[in-house]
Amino acid sequence: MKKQCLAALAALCLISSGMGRAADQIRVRSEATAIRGQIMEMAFDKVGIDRTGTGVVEQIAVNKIASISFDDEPTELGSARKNVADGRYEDALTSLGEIPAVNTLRVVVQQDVQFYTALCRAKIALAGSETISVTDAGKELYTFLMANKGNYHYLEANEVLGDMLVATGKYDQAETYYRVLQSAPWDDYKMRASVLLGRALLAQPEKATEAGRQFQMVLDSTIQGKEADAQRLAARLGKAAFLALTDQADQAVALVQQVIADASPENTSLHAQAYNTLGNAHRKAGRTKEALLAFLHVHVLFHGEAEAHAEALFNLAELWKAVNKQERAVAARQILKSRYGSSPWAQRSGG
Amino acid sequence: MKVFKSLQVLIAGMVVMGTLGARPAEAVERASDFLDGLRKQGYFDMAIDYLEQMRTSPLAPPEFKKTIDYEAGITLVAESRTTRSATTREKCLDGAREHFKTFLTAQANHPLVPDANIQLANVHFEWGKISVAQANAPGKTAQEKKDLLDTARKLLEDAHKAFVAAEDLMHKKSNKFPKEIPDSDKKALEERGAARADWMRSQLLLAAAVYELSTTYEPGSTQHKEQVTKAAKTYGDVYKLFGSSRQGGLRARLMEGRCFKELGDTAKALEILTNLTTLLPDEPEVFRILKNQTLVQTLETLLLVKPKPKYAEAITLGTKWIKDARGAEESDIEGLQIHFLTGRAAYEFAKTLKDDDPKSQENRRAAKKDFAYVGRFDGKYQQEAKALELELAGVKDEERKEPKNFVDARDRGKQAWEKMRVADLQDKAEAAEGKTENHERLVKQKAEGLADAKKYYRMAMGFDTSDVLADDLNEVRYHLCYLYYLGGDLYEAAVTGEFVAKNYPETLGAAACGIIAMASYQTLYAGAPKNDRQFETDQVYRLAKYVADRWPARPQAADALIVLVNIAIQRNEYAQAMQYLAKIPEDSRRRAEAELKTGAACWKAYVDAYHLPEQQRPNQATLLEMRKTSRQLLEQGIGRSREEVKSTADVSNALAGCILYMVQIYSGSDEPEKAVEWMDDEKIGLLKLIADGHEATKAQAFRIQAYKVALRTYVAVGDIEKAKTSLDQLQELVSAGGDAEAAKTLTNILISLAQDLEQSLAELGTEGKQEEIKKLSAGFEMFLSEITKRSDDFQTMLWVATTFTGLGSGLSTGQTRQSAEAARYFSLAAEAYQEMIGRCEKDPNFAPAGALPALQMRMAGSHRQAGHFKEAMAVLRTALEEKERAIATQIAAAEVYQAWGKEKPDYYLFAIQGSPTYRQVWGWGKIAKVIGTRPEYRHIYHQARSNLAECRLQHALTLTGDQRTEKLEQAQRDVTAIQQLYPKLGKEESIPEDGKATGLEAFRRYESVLTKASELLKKK
Repeated sequence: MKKQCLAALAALCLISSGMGRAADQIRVRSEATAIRGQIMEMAFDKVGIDRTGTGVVEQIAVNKIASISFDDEPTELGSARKNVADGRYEDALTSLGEIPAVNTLRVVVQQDVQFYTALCRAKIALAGSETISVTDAGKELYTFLMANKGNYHYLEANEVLGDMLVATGKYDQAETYYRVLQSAPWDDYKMRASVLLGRALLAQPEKATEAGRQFQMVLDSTIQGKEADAQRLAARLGKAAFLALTDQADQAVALVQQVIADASPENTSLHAQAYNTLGNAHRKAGRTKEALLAFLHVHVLFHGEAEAHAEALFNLAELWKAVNKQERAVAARQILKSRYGSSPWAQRSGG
Repeated sequence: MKVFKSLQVLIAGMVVMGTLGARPAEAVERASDFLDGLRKQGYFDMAIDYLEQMRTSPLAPPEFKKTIDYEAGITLVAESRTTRSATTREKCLDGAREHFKTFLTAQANHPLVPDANIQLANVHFEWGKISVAQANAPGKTAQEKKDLLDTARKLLEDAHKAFVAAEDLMHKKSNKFPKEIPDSDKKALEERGAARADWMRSQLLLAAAVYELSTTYEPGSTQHKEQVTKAAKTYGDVYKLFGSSRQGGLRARLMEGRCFKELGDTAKALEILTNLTTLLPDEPEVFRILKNQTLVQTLETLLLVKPKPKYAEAITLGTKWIKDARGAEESDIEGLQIHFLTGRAAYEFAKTLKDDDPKSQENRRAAKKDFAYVGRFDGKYQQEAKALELELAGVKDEERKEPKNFVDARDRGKQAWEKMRVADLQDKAEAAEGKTENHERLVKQKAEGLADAKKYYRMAMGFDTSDVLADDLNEVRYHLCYLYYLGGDLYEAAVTGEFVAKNYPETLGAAACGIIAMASYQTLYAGAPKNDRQFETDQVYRLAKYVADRWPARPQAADALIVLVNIAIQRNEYAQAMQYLAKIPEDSRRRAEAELKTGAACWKAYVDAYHLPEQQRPNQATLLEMRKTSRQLLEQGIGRSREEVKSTADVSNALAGCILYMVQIYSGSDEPEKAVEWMDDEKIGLLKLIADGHEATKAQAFRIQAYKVALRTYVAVGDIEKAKTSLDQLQELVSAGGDAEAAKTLTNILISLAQDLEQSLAELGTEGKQEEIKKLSAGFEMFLSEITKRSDDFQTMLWVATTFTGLGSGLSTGQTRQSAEAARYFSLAAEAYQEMIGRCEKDPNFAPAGALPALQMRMAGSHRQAGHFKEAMAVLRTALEEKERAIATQIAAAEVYQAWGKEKPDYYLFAIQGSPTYRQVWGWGKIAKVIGTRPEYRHIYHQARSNLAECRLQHALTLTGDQRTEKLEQAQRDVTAIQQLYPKLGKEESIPEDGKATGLEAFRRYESVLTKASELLKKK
C-alpha cells in the first residue's frame, strides 16, 4: 500500500509539470462525450482531472476509463491509440515509431507512448509474429510495468504480461500478474482476473482444484452487467475445462455446448476457446473424431485467434496421427511451427 | 477440358443463385461456414463425420438438419473430383446418389429440391464420364469396353432426363416474370436476371449431357455423328437464346464450334470460332480463359482442315498468343495446349518443305522450342512433347541420357510402354486384316518396348521416392507387375501385384494387380510337377479369395470367382463351387462361362460317380441331385451364351462341349424331345456345329460322342430315319478313321450306347417312370431290329442280343415271373443267340474260336429269364453232353431248375440233387462236392451250398406239417454245418467277389435261409 502511495505521489509530480494545459480528455466507458480538463493526478487505480480549472479534482476510476488523450500529445499517438482500439497493432506501432523527439514530451505522454509501444509489440508477438518474439515483447512490457506502477495502464500491463507468460507456458509466473489484477478494487476486474488466473492454474495440473475454485467464484458472483455476464460465460468455459481435466468429460461437453449456444457470434475469442475446450474434453474421453471436429472448428473458423489456433493445431497434429492421417498431421505441425514457432504449443510438438 | 470442369461452377452457381435464402440461417453453430471450410481444406471425410454429428447435435440449427443429406451429397461429389482412386471415386458418387435420394424423399417440399435433382443428375453425369474414361483406358478387351460404354450411356441418359426436367422447371420459373419490368424495380430485375441465368445454366447442363453421350459411341460411327450433331444444335440453340450478352451463351458457342470440328465440318467450326474470338474480351479473367479455350479449338481445327491443313494460320495465331501471354497463363492447361499445337503446326509445316529450305529449319526450331516448353510441365501433352522434342533433335532412344530421378525414369518407362502398346495394337489390327508384312518388325518393337519399360520402371523404383506420392509409385508398380507377367517373370509379378493389391487396395489398378498375381501363380502351377503343386494351388486360392472378397463389384471379382469355382470342382467341393458361382453377378459377362464350367464339372462328376462300384457309389437321391444341378447350370449357361451367338463362329469350344452334355442329359431323361431341340437348334445345335465344321467338333472323339447321343436320342423319340442317319454317320466316321479294327470300334461304341441305355432305363425304373421305360424300350427295339436286318457281323449281332438282354433287365421287376415286356425282350435275346449259334454251325468263321459255348450259355440264360425253362434246359443239357465237367454250365443248369422250382416245387430237388433223368446235370450238391474245398474255388463252393440251402428252404415252404418241419430243419442243418466248418465266414475270411459279388451273395443267402428257417421252426 505504501508503495502505491509513493507511486501515486510520483505520478502526481510528473503530471504537475504540465500545469496550465486545458484540454486533456478522459473518455469514460458508456458515456458519449469525454471529460475534458486538466489531468492533475494519476495512480494505478484512478485519474484525477480538474474540469473547471478551479483546482477541484474529480477522480475517475481506471475501470471506467476507456482512453485518455493529452492535450500536447503528438497526433501520431492519437492515431496509434485508435489503431490499438481497432486491433490494428502493426499500424499503431508504425504511428508510434514516427513520433519525433519522444523524450521531449510531457512525462505522462512519454509513458503512454512507452505503454502503447510495448502493448503493440506484445499483441503482435502473441499473434505469432516472426519478427517480434513473445519473450522480447514481454521484457519490454515488464520494463514499463516496473517503472510505471502509478500509471493508469498499470493493471492492464499486468494483464497483458500475464497473457504473455501464459503464451510462453510460464503459467506459474503469470499467476503473479493476474493476482495483481485480482487485487484491483473493482468486481469486474476481479472477475476477469479470476478467469485469467483460473486458466493459468488449470494449465498446471497440480493446481486444478484451485482453478476450479477461481471459476466457481466468478460463477457465484451476483454482479450485474454485460461485462460481468461475459466473465461468467468465460468462467463457465473455464469450469468446463476443469471438468474435462478431472475426468468429467460428459459434463464438460454439455457445459461447453451451453457456452457456445449463449456466446455472442462476434466473440470469436470465446468461441475459439470453447471449441478447444470441447476438443480437449472429447479427447480426454477418448472420442477422437469428435475431438478432431472440435479443434477443426478453431482451425477453420477461428484461426485469427492466435493462441487458440496454436493449441488447436497442436492437438490436430496428434489426433491426425492417431487416425493414420499422416499427411494432415504433418501439415498441422508445419503450420504450427511456421506461424507460432515461439508458442509453447510449437515447443511441445518438438519444434 | 475446362469447359466441363466448369460444369461444377454451373451447378454451384445455380445452387447459389437459384436458392438464395434457401440455405438455413444459423444462430448458434456456424454449420455452413464450417462445412465449407472443411471442404475447401479437402477434409471431406471430416465433413461427412460432421454432418452425421449434426444429425443429433443440440447445436445444429433445425433448418440445417433438414439439409444434412443434401450437404452430404455435395461433399461426396466434391470429394469424387479430387481423388485419383477409381474405387474411391465410384464409392463417393454412389454415396452421393444415396444421400440425394434420401433428401429428396424426406424433404420433398424443400426449396433445395430442384438443386438436389440437378445434383443427382450430375452424379450420373460424372459417373458416366468415369465409365467412358475407364472404357478408353488401355488394356480393356472389346467386351469390357462395350460393357463400360453401355453403362456410361445409361448413366448419361439418366442425367440427360434429369437435366431436361430441370431445364423445364427453370424455363417456367423464368417465364413467370413479366416481359417489361421498370428500371426502378431493382429487386424484380435482379430476380428475373437470376432466373434467366439459372435457365441458361440448365440448358448448358442439358447440352453437356447430349455431348457426353456422343463419347459413348465409336468415333466416326453413325451414332456418334448423330449425337454430336444433336449436341451442336443444342448448343447452338442456347447461343441463339442468350447470345453474347451472357458468358453461358458464349460458352455454348464455343462448344458448338467444337462439335462441328468433331464432325469434320472444319469450315463451319472455323466460322463459329473466329466469330467467337472477336466477341470475347480479354477481361475479366473468366472471358480470357474462354478466349484461350477458343484459340485451342481454333488451332486444332486448323490442323484438321482437308485437304491441306492451315499450318501457317495456326502458327501465326499461336505464336502471337504466346508472345502476348500473361504471366502464369502460359503454363496453365490452355497455355500448354496452345504451345503444343503451335509446335505441331510448325513441325508438320516444316515436313512439307524441303530439308534445306530455311523456312523448314526455322519452323523445326520453333517447334522444338514449344515442345521443350510443354515437356517441362506435368500434363496431358508432356510425354508426347518430350518425344517430339527428341525426334526433332535427332536423338535416338539409345543415345538418350539415362534418367537421374524417379520422374524421369518413370516417364521413360511410360514412353517405352506406349511404344510396346502401339506395336501390339497395330500387329493385332493387321493380323485381323490378314496383313503380315509388318509382323516381324512389330514383334521386335513390342519386345524392345517391353524390355525398356521394365528397365526404366525398375530404375524409377530404385531412386529416392520419399517425396513421391503413393499413387505415382503404385502406377509404376502396376505397370511393372504387368510387364513382369508378360515377360515371364512370374514370381516378381506375383510379389509386386500382391503388394499393391494388399497395401493399396483403393488405388487404381489394385484389383488388376491382384488378378495378375493370381494369374502368375496359375501359370506357375501349370509348369510345376503334377505331384508338387500344393504351394501354387494355395497361392492361387488365397489371391482369388482376396480379390473376390475385396472388390466384389469389380469385373476382376468374376475372374477370381471362376478360379475359385475351378478349384472347388477339383476338390470335389460342389456345394462350395455353387456358392462361388452365386457370387458372380447375374449380369456379369463371366457368369455364363462360370455356369458352363460348373455345370460341365458337375455332369462329369455325376457320370464318374454313377460308374463307381456299388459300395462307393453315392445314394440315388444324391445322384439325382447331381444330375439335376448339372442340367440346371448347363441350361442357364448355355441360355446366356446363346444370346450373344450370331454365328457358329461365336460358339466357344467350351460351349460346344456343354451343348453335347445337354443333349446327353436330355437324351437319358424323360424328355428326349428336348435333346432333339438341342441337337437341331438353328444357332448352336449340336448337329449344326458339326455340319458347319466348328473347331470343337473336328475331333473324331467329339463327333463319335455326338452321333452316339444323336442315335440314342432319335431312338428314344422314335425317329427311325434320323436314327439310321446317325448310325450311318457313326459307321462312316469310325471307318474313315483308318482304324484297322473299325468294326470292333463301332461295336464297342454301340455297346457303350447300350450300357447308357441300360443306365437310363435303370434310372427311370428307380424313378418309377414305367411309361417312359416302355417308350424308350419300344424305340430301341425298333432300332435293334433294323440293326439285325442290316448286319451279319458277329459283333454287331452279339451287341443286339446283349442289348435285348439289357432291355429285359431294365424292365425286370426282380420277381420270379418277369413282366410280359421283359420276358419278350429276353425271348428276343434268346432268338438272337439262337440265330448266332445257327450261323456258327453253318459258318465256322462266323464267330471267334470258342465262342459257341458262351453263346449257348447266354441263350440258356435268356430263356431262363424269359421263363422258358424247358428250352433253357435243352440247351444246357446239350452243352453238358459235350462237356459234363463245365462248372459254369452245371451252375447255369442248377439255376434253371431252381428258377423252375417256383412253378414246380419238385424241381427244387432237381436243383439240389441233379436231374434224375439227365445224369449229366449234377445239381448244387454234386457241384459243391466236385469243387471241394480248394481255396481258389471256395466262392463257387459257397454259391452251390448256399443255393442248395435256399432250394431246401423254398421246397420246405411248399410242404406242410412234419414234412415241412423236417425240410426246414434240414435247411437249418445245411447252414449250421457250413458255419461250423467255416466259423469266420462273412467276418474275417474274405469271400472273393466278382462284379456281382457272388461270394457275398452266398453269405447273405446262408444268413437268410438260417434266419427264415429258424423263424418258421419257432412258429411251429
